[in-house]
Amino acid sequence: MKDDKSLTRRTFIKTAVIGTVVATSSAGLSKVITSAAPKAMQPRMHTNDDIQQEKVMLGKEYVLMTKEEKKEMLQMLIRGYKEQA
Amino acid sequence: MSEEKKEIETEKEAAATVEERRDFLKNMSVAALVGAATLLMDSEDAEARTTWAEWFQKSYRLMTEEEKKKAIARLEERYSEEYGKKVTVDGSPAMKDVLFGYALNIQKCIGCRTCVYACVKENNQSRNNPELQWIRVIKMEKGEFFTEDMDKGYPKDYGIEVGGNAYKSAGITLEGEHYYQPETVPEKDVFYFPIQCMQCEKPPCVKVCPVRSTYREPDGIVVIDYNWCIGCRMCISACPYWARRSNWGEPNLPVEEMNPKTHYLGNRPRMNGATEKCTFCLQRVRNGRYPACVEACPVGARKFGNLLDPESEVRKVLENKRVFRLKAELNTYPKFFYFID
Repeated sequence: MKDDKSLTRRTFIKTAVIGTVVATSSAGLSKVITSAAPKAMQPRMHTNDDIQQEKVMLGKEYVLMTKEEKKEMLQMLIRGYKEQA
Repeated sequence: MSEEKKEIETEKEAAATVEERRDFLKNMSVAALVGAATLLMDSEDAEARTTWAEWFQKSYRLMTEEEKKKAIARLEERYSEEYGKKVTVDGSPAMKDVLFGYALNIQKCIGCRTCVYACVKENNQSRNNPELQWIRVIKMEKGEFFTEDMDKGYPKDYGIEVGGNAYKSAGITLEGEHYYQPETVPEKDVFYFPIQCMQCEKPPCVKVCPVRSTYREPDGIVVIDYNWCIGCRMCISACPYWARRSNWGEPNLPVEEMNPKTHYLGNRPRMNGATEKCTFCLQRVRNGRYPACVEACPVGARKFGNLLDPESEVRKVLENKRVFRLKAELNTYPKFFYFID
């Protein structure tokens, strides 16, 4: 009976250890594979980032702020700071 | 020996072999784990030790003062070893009664990109292939949109396909270009439009971060805990100003070009996958200095100061100049203002 118990415990510990090792190594491996874009692709990805910013500029809108708007915005900023303090 | 007894003996032997193999595997796994842990814990290599510790550290904003000090000490040791010089990592918190604001005179900017290069140098951005830049200067055509030309164009009268303002510079309605390479600047009939992080009061990038690695500091600067960033790039998609950059690969920062005065939330070297952006040069402004771009601008187009101080440059600009904000309609409340004399 005692032997059976210790065998069950051993089996459990063994499974847990092997499970941990397998999970850790597969997580590590998949991180290495997925985390970095292939070197050849990196310049293109950075260029895509740049193009996005150009698109942002195309959708821009410039509206000069009136004195009241400036005052209101400033008050809002100061009030916000005081509230968080 | 009977046939039955022989069978029992064989079964026992087989069971013993399986047991031995299991024990062997078990012992090897435990030994490998303990060995790996010991190697990393007691490693002479500062990077390995730091990496191990960094895996288990908290988000910076949730750390106690003691934990912050330890994290900073680990990084200082690691960077000093990696770059072969004394590297300091500052952990200065936001100053009291300070809310930073920035103003840029769009009329004065000559598009020389001195600010861009000063920023790269100061903030330890990745240098080669490609160089990451936090400031983009976009060349725009000057021009005017004439309302009286709206009814012109061709074909005439009904069914106009092309308006009278087409094919001529109509100012900001035409596209910008940031890969311009003229021999001299400023060029004729263009103006330049630098863009960087607007340090929004209601930053969309902060709202979308699934792990809260990016957050707004009390002095208004939006920062990133690079160690806590999982590289999902949600913030990049959310930013309407496209002010954030991703390290798509391992950043490359030559040892001789590394700026050793760093801040934990600012210009310390980043890792693969981490997102980065302008922090108003946190490491400088929290120690009473101007951001690098403000210092470097040869025409004095950039102004910086405390929005809570009525005597600061940025407040004077807000009071006396014609000011506009980029994409103000999105209600992100940027603290980066563009102005005209």
